[in-house]
Amino acid sequence: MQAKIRRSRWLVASCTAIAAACSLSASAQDIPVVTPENLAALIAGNEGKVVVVNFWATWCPPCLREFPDIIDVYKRYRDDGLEVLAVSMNYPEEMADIEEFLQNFDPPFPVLLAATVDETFYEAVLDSWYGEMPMTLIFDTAGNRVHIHKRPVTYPELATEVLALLPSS
Amino acid sequence: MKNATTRIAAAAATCCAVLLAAAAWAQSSISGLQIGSPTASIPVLDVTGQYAGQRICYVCEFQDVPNVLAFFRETGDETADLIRQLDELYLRHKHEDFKAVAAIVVGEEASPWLEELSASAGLEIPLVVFRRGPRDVAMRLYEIDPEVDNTFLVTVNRFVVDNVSGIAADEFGRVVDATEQMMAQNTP
Repeated sequence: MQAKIRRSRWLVASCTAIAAACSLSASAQDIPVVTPENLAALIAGNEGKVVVVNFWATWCPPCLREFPDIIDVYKRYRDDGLEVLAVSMNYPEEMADIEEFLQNFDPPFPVLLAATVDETFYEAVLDSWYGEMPMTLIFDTAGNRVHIHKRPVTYPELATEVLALLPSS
Repeated sequence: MKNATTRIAAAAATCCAVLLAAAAWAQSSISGLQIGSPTASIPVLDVTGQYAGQRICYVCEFQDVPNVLAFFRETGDETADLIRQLDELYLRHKHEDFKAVAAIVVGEEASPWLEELSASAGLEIPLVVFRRGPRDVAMRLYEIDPEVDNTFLVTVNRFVVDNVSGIAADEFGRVVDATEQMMAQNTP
């Protein structure tokens, strides 16, 4: 049991470190690949923070349109305890597109790459997710999933939901 | 001698009946997602749409609005006729936020044909191709039967509300009917 906990903590620490490194490097080659289990560990590792997980792809026009709003909300509330994880659902052969995306948007939060892009990934993340994109999940400070958006989010909508969950609110 | 002739005639009649039944079965083959299925996000290569030259997910772009996703096995006169009719359907309903897209399964080799068709017929709907042709992941995700000439998925809120597949150009009315019914039910 203790070994299990140690492994879990090690995984959280590793993922957090990798994700933090990624946020600084902004290079597609450095993007950590995550399984749904890694993602769950990352969310759990951010206990005490509100966590927004956004699933996107470079070929998803509404994903590109909403991304600046997500960045703005993050910049506005990161010091108050907001974390954002952006998970690319691109295919492995689309690394050049991801690179271009990172250069265009320069996201200030961790960007991750889904280990697989299929039903198994979708279902492991969320039972009712069939691969609609964009998809955004919002977790409270205790790591409970509070909001599910299977459509683009806007700044006012996201900011309102995040603000309501932040400890200072 | 008479008996032998009768037996041959009976055998021939049986063969004809089997062939006709097989033809009818082939005609009614179902291709594509079944009614009630969700529509997954799939990137295709846009040939004539607003994202021409780019990989794009029109299913993502359409979001929840009513739309028809049409898949064609290959290029040809029948395909051209059906695409023109789909465009007419789109023009009739575009003011109601209706969308449509036509995808050719065969892949990038169909691009010049699609460009020519779009330009000559003045089409407004985007024409796209599967990036990997019949090996594209979209074939599996959308359960497209590679042996069936065409598949029309009538969808709204990212769920299939009707599936019309393997039709001839003069049967496009089935797609029209399914679309009209969806539009009527989708009216606020």
